[in-house]
Order: sequence, then C-alpha cells, then structure tokens
Amino acid sequence: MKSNIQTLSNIYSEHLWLELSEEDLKQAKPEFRDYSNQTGCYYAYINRLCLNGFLKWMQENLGEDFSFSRFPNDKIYLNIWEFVNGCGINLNNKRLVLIPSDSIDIADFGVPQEWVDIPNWVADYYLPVGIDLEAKYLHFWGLVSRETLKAQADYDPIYRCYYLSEDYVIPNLEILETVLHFCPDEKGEVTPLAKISANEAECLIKELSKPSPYSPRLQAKFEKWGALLNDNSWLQKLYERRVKPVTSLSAISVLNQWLDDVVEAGWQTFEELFTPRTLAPAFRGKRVRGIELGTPENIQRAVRQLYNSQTEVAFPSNSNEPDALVYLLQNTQDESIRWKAAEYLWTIAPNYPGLPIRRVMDLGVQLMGHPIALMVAVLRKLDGKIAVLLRAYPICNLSEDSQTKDFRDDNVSLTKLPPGLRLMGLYENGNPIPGLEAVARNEPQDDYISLYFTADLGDRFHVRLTLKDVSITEQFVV
Amino acid sequence: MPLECFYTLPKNLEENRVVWRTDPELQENIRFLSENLDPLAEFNEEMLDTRVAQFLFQQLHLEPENELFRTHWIAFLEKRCEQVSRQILSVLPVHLRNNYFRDLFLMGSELVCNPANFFERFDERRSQLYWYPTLKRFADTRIKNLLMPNVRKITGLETLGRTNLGLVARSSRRQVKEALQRLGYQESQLDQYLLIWQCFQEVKTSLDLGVNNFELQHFERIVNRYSELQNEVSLPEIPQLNMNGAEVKQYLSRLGMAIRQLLDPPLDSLDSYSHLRSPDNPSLIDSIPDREKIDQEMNQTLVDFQNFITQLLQSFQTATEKQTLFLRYGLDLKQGQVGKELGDLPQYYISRSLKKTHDWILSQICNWVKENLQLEPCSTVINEIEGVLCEYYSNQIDRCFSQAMQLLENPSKELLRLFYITKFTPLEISEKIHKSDSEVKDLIESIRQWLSSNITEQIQSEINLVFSSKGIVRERILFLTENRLQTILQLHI
Repeated sequence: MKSNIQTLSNIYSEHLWLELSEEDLKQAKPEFRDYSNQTGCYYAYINRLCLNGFLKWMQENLGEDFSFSRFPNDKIYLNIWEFVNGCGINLNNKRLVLIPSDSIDIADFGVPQEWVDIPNWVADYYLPVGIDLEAKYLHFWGLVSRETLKAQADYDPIYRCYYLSEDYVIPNLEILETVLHFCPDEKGEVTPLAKISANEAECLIKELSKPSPYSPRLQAKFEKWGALLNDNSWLQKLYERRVKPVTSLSAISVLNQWLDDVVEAGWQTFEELFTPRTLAPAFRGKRVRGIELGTPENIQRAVRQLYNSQTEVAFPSNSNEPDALVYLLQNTQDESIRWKAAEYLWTIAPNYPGLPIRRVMDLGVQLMGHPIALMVAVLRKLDGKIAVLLRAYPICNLSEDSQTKDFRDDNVSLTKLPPGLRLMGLYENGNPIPGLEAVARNEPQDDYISLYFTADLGDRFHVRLTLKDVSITEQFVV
Repeated sequence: MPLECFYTLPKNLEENRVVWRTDPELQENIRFLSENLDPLAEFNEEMLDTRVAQFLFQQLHLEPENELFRTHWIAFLEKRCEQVSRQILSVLPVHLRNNYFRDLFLMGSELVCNPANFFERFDERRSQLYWYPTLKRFADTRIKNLLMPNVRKITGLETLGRTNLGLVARSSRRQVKEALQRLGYQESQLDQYLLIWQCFQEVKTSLDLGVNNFELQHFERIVNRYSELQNEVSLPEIPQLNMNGAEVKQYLSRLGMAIRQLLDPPLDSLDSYSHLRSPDNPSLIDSIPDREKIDQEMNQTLVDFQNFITQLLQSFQTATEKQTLFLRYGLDLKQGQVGKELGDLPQYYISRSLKKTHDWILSQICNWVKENLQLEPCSTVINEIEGVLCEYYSNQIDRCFSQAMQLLENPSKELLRLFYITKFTPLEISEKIHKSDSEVKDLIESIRQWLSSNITEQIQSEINLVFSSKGIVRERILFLTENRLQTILQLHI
C-alpha cells in the first residue's frame, strides 16, 4: 500500500481503506456505448470500482456463512447507473447500498431518494465511500441504518437526496459482520408507492427516453419515477430506449423520394433546425467559406470567380446569378464545384428551383455529450445519377448574451466540431467505402466535415458518425 | 479522565506538548458539583465523573450562551484535541510528530470553540449506561474527522493545493453550507446558493472535463440547468437566478475561498477564554436537580452492568482468547497486528478466533441489555458495546499504570509532578534541582521509558504473552504512557 494511504489507514483504522491498482481502474471503465451520456459513464465507473473492491474485500473477510449478490441481479445491475449513483449488494437477507462520492471531506454524504423510498430498492444499511481517482483509493468510512437515515437526514426536495451528517454514521466498519448477524430489521417503515399502469409506464418511458446530458430522474414526480424503477422490466426498457445500442435512429431513408419532397420523420429543413441560437457563427450571415455574398456585387463577383475556377462549363449568357449557379451545379463533373455552387445558392436563394434538396437530422448528445447534426443533400444529375453530399455540423446552444458578442477564444469549442469526430460512408455490408471518410481536426477545429459522392438509383449505403467508442449509423437507399 | 478536564485550559504550546493552566473559578465549580450532586458520595469515581459531565451537558443545552458552561466544555474539548492530535501523530515518524503537533492541536482548538454546535448531533439516548465514554468517543471521532483535511496534507495527499474551483467541486454539501454561512449568506438565501452548487456538481458529472478546464459555456450550462430545475420542480421559494455564466464562475470561486478558510484558517495562537460570572448567572445550587429515586436505580444498574462485564471477560479460560481480546480492545490493534504478536499467526486464524469470541461476548451482552434495559440490539447498540469493551481494557491498563507509579521513588515522582502537574519547563525544573536542562529532559524521558517497560511487563504477565521487542505493542504502550501520564499522576500525587 502506498505510504500516504497506509498512514491514513493507520490513523483512521476503524475505516476501511482499499487501494486501487491500474488493473482495477482499467476493469471498471465502462463502454461508452453502454450509457447514453457522460453522467451515466461516470456513475458506472465509480460504482464499479466500489462494488468490485468491496465484493473482493467481503469475500476475503466475511465468514463463509454469507452469500452475496449484486442488486437487483447480475444481469441488470449495470443499468441502474444510467439513472442514479449508488450500488446495492444483497447479503443473505439484508441489503447494503454503497454510495461513492469524490468529496474530500466526510462532513456528510447524500443518498439519492431512489435507494431509500423505492420499496424494492430500500437497503438495511448505507455505506458512504470516498473515492479518490488521483491517489487511487477507496475509503469506506462507516455505515448507517435506514432507520437512522430517515430519522436524522436532511431531505433535499429538489435533487431528491437525503443528506446525513457524519455524526450519525457509525465509523467502525469492523462491526459490520456482527451487525448483519445480530441486528433485526433496521429498515424502519417503508411506504408503498402507488402503482402505475402499463400505459402510464410506456408514456413515461417515451418521455424519459429523450436524450439529455443528465439523468432523467428529476423529470418526473418521484411517485411516478419510483414506481417505474420499482419494476425491473420497466427499468430495463427505459435503459434500452435511452441507450439505443443498435445506434440507428430511424428507418432507412429513401433519398430519391426526397427529390419529390417525400422525407422520412426525423429529418428537418436546415432552417427548421438551425436557428440563430443553434447555428454556429461560421454559418451566420451571408458568407460561404469566407466568401461574402451579402450584396449583389459580392454575389456577382463570387459566381464569376467560381466559374473562372473551372473550364468545363461556360457561363450561360443572359443569366442571372442563381440561374448560372443552377446551370453550373447540373452540368459540372467536378463534385466540389457542384456542391460549392449549391452552397452559394442555399445562401443567396434558399428556395430556388433546381436547388439540391438538403435535410438535417439532430443526433442529440449521443456522441459523448456533443450535440451534432447530420446533413444530407441530394441532387439528380443530368445523367440520371444522384449526387449526394454528407455533412456533420455542431449544434450550438448559446445564451442570449453570447449571440450578440464577438466570440472570444473560450467560446471556440462550443461552435466547432469535437476533434476526432469521424464521418464515414459504408457499403451495405458495413465495410467502409474507400476514400469516403472525413475526420474533424484538432488544430484548427472544424466548422463542419463533409463527404460527397455519386450513386445510382437503388444503391444502398450507410453513413456512420463516430467519436471515440460511440457511433451512430444511418441507413440510406438512393 | 478525572474532572480536571473541565477546569484546565491551554496556556501555551511547548515543543510537542500543551502546557495547561487551572482556572480557579472553573475548578471551584467542579469541586462544588462533585460535592453536591451526591452529598452522600455513594458514587464511585467513574460514576461521579459521569454525573458531573451529564449535569454540565444538560446545562450547556439549556443555556448554550452561558459563558461558564461553555468554557467548561471548551476545556473538555481542548483536552480531547490534545489526545486526538497525539493519537494521529503516534503513527508518524518522530520528526514529523514535532513538526505537526502544534498545527493539529491549534486546528482542533479552532474547531471546538463552539461546544453547543459541536455536540448538536450527539444523541443522548445513544447510551444510557455508558453515556460518558460514548460522549468521549463521539468527541474524539468528530475531532478526528474534522482534522482529516489536515491529516491528508500531512500524508502528502493534495487538498489545500487545489484551486478554489477544485475545492468547491470536491466538498460535501455540509461543508459548502458552512462556507456559505461564513460568507454571510442568510438562511433564506442558502437554498438558492446551495442549488447553484448542486447544479455545478451535476454539470461537472455530465462532462468529461476537469473543473479547471471549464470554459464560459460550461458555467452557462449551470445557469441553464438551474432554470430547467426551477421550472420542472416549481418551487416558488427558489427565486430566479439573476446571474450569467461569468457571475456563476465568480460565485463558485468565492465559495472555494471560503471553504479554504474553513479548512486552513490562520493559526497563530491559542484563544484565551474568560467567563466572568455576571450578576445574572444563576447560582449552581439552583441548577442542581433534586435527587430522584430513578438515579439510584440507574446507578445500581450501572454497577450491575460493570460487574457483569468483568465476570464475562474474566471467564475466558484460554490464553489465546485473553490475549486476543486484550490486544484488540486494550491496545486497539487490528487483526493482522494481533496475529503478528501472537507468533505470526495467520490473519484468517485470528479473524476466526476473534469472531467466535466476539460473537459470544456480544450475544451475552445483548441478552443482558435486552433483559435488564429492554433494549433491542441494533447497529448503534453494537457500536456502543465495542466502546464498553475498549473502556474495560483501558481501565485494566490504567491499573497497571497505577501499580507502576507506586513503585516509583519519591524524587522521580517529584520530577514528574513538577513537569506534568505544576507545568514547569525543563529549564525551570533544572534551576530548582540544580541539574542542567538536558539532564532534566533525559531524566524525564528515562522515567517514562521505565514506566512503559514496567507496564509492558505487567501486561505480559497478566495475559501470559511476551511481546516482540520491536513490535507495535511496545510502541503503543509507550504512546499510552505519554498520553495517560498526567492523568494518572493526579491520582497519585
């Protein structure tokens, strides 16, 4: 044991101090795909460390007449951390609940109401656990019965947490085994929760499945929330809906129908999704990749320059700029010119006939808490093929103050893509299409990343967005 | 601990000891109470201590601002601070003990300057029998826990080196509340500002980002979360938040600074206490309740309980059982340490042996408590019973101590009296007895060592075990000698 932990353990010898090895830390790290947000991942990490450490200690130190298991069972105990901090251990006919926290002091500890007032969840004893990931140790500093907790704790009605002062915590963990043997029920009275119907549960699950960076536990009244979690099958269902391991947000999107204005649910127009509040500053104002398009003179200059950058298509005589752009995007063989022309048109004349159809989908915060939108644009070429543009944008959530100020450096990361975000095109069998991958840079950070290609009617492909271990995949047919 | 703890206050700090002064008025009060709480003096000394302490405790609760009662308890808590500080430092190398004793003691003194607040959560119903030992354990545990940030610092774990935001992020709710009160927020404002802190904690958990890397938009998320909760929970008493992200950041930083001041206040000197008896202070005579019959019954029950414990623990026949119990409860050794002293027995063997003995003792005590006091065993009662066992063996060690003291020659006793009771410095003593300062120090140290050896021999003989020469037991007995010397001296000199 490291000397500082050993010294603390000698001074506070009545507590239990367990050192964490690199292997312990590695084993406890959850898969990001197992939780819908960083909150769930964090709870999973610290609770797995506590649970693994304490179970190992119990195996080594408690007598053979104890049998223990994870609450509620070995299959779904991991799901609890999508919603709440804490982990339960069933020991013979009693239950302990460990409550980890990274607080340095032990003046008090907070027990989420779920562990105290949901009838199937209540514990006989609660054990506060200090966890220090830097110094790598767990500090179990006592135990308290539910009876004492209910009688003496301060209840916070906003965060629904019982806070108990350390003065009521029995600091001597060496009596744990004796307490489990000798003491009769110390749970106290448990008030049943009113039941909810299957319909009501389904509505709640639907409502609470919406992505958010936080636990949904405060979004419903406790009576309903508790009743939902009191049932393992509903708990499981809510977990699955929130985490969506299949990572597919909708049915297959049929792109050629978009050209006839038939678009699947979940896809919005650019203007519907991107308001002044949610649009990154790089796209505000009439500007495309730094080219100003705010005045007729600027538009004329830009269109001429675009035509001059290629030799394949001549500027059509007696055409206004929008017509010239439509002409260019339909006739050029150069995909980058085509989509640049499209962007100019979207900026200067968003509803112009002949424009490629573009739609965006809000992917929420599933990618490690970063709000991302996927844009798909399609255009029927003169040869009958379909040109496709794929793009990933950040969705901003700026406060009203920020909208009017110049953006300082510390706002950069909010309005750019997270570095390492990967946009890929895949064949129907899931294999990557060669050359169809874009990665968001770290320095400088990207406003967007995009891919474009041409496909035949009936071609199927997938689009995948990946950030670290988390992926979202959408399926398309041209 | 004799009642001296209620009438001595720290005078100054010297090297690694506290020099105590007797407050004449406090002493007179205690003398008066000792004589008048039970004029018939039926109580044994232990019971008398408990009766006096209980009376003072009741008065503290009735009149928390009464300077007299408050100062009695400050004196008591300062003594506990000294003991706890020594106990903490006893596990550190010698050179560190000298470095940190002053800091720990002064920090402890800061924490105990409001006794009514300190004991606010002491549940008097926790123990009807062993009230005073339970109170002492409560005080020691509380002081030790409050000193934890300082102890972390001593062991090299980072606490105070964190940024203000880092401190806020790693504080408990109670600590944050105390810091807010220190900053001058009124009770009516506390809920709102605590909620901001809680939103900060929730946002922090939702990001894979250290708080020191938070940017403005992250503080703005706290503002957004506060508004969301305010709408969702519909609590009208929580007002709207009129702060933007930058202002939330400033508030959290100020909070961090307040927490830092709580954990690391300036420690220059000992506080001085005065408690001039005002003309309005009621006479102590008026406060002493009439003796009730129930006291006699309770006292008899206490005597019966003590006798029962003695018989129970003396009934163990095998040497291993006696040794294990003594080492575990008398010297506070962990199972692994007990195993080492018993000839390197494996821990699982000690664990099984101790468990078997322990369970049997507990079942006997629980049955007695249930029969005679109608108390069902619960976790709190089990915890108190542990305290009972520790107290029994602690008294046994004190008896060994007393026997050792009786063997001391008079010049040695006198030297100890001058140093521990009269509180002379070694220099002052050297002038009195015409020896050099260093000779005096050496003499005192050699007497301590002799006492410690004698006590060790007595214990070895009592439990029929020879302790290993460099083991923890000898260190522990030396520590106990130093800690208890002054107390035992007062009984003999």
